[in-house]
Amino acid sequence: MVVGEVPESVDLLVVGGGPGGYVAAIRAAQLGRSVVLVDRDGEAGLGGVCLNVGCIPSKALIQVADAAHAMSRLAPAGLTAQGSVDLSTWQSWRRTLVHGLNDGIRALLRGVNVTVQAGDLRFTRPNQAVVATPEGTARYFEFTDVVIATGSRPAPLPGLVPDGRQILDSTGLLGLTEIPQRLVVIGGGYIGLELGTAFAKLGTQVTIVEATKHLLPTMDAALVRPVLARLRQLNVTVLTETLAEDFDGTALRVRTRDTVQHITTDVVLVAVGRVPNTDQLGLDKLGVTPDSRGYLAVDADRRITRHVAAIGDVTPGPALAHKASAEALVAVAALSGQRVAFQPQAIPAIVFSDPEIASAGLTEAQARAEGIDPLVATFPLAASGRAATLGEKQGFVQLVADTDTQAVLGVHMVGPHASELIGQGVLAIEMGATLDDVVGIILPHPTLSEQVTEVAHLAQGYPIHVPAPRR
Amino acid sequence: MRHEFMLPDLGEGLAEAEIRNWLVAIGDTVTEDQALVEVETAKAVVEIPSPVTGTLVEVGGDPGTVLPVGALLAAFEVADRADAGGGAGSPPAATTDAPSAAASASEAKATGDAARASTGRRARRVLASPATRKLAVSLGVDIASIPGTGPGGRVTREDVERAAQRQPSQAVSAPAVAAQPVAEAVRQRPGDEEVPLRGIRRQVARTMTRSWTEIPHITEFREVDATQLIAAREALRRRAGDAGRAMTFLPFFVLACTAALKRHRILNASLDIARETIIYRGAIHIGIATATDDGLIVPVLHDADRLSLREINQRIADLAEAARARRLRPDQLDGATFTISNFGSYGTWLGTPIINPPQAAIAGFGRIEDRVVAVAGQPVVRPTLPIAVSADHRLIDGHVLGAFVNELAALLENPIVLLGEVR
Repeated sequence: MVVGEVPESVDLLVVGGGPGGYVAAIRAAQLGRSVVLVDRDGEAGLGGVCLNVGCIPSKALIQVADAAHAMSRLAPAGLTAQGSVDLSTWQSWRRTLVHGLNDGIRALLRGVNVTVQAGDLRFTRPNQAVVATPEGTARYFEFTDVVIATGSRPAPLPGLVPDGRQILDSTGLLGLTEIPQRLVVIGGGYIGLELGTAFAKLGTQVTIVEATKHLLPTMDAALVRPVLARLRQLNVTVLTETLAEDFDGTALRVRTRDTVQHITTDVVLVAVGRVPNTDQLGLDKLGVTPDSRGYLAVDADRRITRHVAAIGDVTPGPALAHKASAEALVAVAALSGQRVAFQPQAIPAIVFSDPEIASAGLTEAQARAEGIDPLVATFPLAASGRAATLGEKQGFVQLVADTDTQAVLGVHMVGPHASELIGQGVLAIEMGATLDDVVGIILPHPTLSEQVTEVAHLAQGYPIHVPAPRR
Repeated sequence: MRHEFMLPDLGEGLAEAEIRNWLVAIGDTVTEDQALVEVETAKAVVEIPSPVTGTLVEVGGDPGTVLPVGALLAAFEVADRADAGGGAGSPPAATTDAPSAAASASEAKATGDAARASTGRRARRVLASPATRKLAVSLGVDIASIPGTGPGGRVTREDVERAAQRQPSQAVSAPAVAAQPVAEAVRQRPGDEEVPLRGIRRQVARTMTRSWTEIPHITEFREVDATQLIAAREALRRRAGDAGRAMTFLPFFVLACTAALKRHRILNASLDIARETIIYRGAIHIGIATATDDGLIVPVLHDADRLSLREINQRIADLAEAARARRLRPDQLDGATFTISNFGSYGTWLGTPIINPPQAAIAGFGRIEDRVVAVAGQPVVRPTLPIAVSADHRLIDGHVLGAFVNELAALLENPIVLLGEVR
């Protein structure tokens, strides 16, 4: 027997250092657990895809692209400057920014004595795992509890395998040091839309290819309409019901129902969804089985068995960082003996499109499907004074309430800073606020946030800044 | 048109019921008030009548199914507008009040229950803050089954706490055994038989666990000279002739208890420890522990202090008969402020009764037997009634309980004094 095979005892093992895993590790340590966190990239991987190659870098890109573009939007207001972006300078800015946040998480984990181990982990028994470290050694762990938080990776598209040069996934695109002249985005989901919009604002000729009928197929069509209008202004070509087939180095071949087209491009972004990282973990040794699509079904408290929990993108539901973090708190509490459940009324979904889209809770159609008689009101952004000063007119806030109880069930919006404003909607929904509650609060003027009280007034039939609906 | 009938609230604290037996089948035509189904609640087996006349088209579950209050129990196809104005059932109203979109919050609350009942799925969407929902989970309460008292039917923290108190064993165990939420499994051996804990048996288990773990019991014992009690009963028996039911000792016990409780109100009280409040009861409702084939149930003799011995005797007989026939109404099981256990009737000499929370005390009466006792220094044989009274020691001190038992003993040894207590 090799000495190295004597397993080290671990109280609570966290697999994956993303927004699910590192939050689980911190909370577990706060609850008095002794924690080891294993991430493929060790401390450098803390924050996961989101921090290192996902949400944060893409927002950093959108920020500069938007600032450059905003100058032209404010030209009618007398702004004469022209914005342009040097992508290689941006790369070093982005690196500093990401490293700073990554360092912050390292410090947080050290502060609560969480051990971080780099390497690929495989389960070997129901309570044991081996980690192949970057040094080429194996480290064996015997754990009491385990949280699986290994996240997801971009879904592959047959025939269009990322090559790191011209066919890129989102990580590759965010790594460019020069702005490409032409870009085809395959996949009209939020990742493709966000990055496509950003590059369009940087001056790239962008085409978005989407297989279904609509961009952002999971969002209500009305919410997407202002975004489509802005894409037209940015000269972005949107091809729906179109399948990408092959790239020969200069042109992408796409097929609609009865035509074949070749789109000349320098770079292709493949962003057609994500698949859970559950296939390389030796889960059968752990005694758990993913479903046919690779997801791990969990109980309300995020546990699969008494000592095994799974959170984030490896579980069914939207693959969102904030869902993973919220689940982490529940899973660790459950593994530590508390009676808990993951029971959100609303997991907000946001898209950093232009303008931004944000949605929380039930849509009108979902409310009807639940047997609720929905009360729906839509307040136009054009009636907001603050929006006018931003040079923005396109957008609205929609509120869905229960006619019987007057409780707010859903808030959906498209417009500037929707990603921030949706927090008010989430708070109202989760607190079970009624329309009377919402109109009973005072929001500051002049701000975009006033739209939330305005739309509630409108829902009650007594709006101030738009005409009252006919009764 | 379709009429959906949701499992009604069958009485205080009953959040669910188990379907025992369907008395009609799908496709049958039923008339309003016709017996539809037997359900077993935590307290009794209850027959639920049909709210409408129509054809049964759907049932909420097969026998053995446990349904929460508010879940679909049955659906009927009823003639359109047949009974538009007259029917007392609320669900039809739910379809007609929907257009009042401008209903105020308070109106919405008033119609909230009916609306919830009209669409069975509604129960899933609970109006409650995240902290309240978390509390419900931690207390093991199904928040969807709690009727909210807040605006728009919002479930408040207080609603959850109240519901948790009605679900005693789980609420108590939550903080205490947080580290090991599941009780140690009982190992089974070949030949063992497994029977699910349901209905009355489950409720008794929960109530007794709560009582035994929450209430520090103090029990006092006394032997009562039953010579005159026996004589009194014989006299009443002879007089009753064939007109009424043969007089037993139990009515004397009830009357003596009501008289003693009037002088010692703290034994006719409840302790609300969560609110640090003592509730003195405004009436004396005596629960009579009654053995049935389904288990122990406790029908209630309401306002027992306003009844004559003979009335008590007759009512106890009626209640016991209804209990054994499983025909007790929920209100006949509700509201006891003090309980009597007549364990002597099945031969027990003496026992230690366990309090039925949230009551503060319980009296047990044993079997009357001849005993040799010392009278004026001489051994003599006397019929002796052993009694045991258990009380909540948080509320009731030993000397208070002693005074109560003294009073009880004095009244039973000299039943003529009971006459002075009869209203």
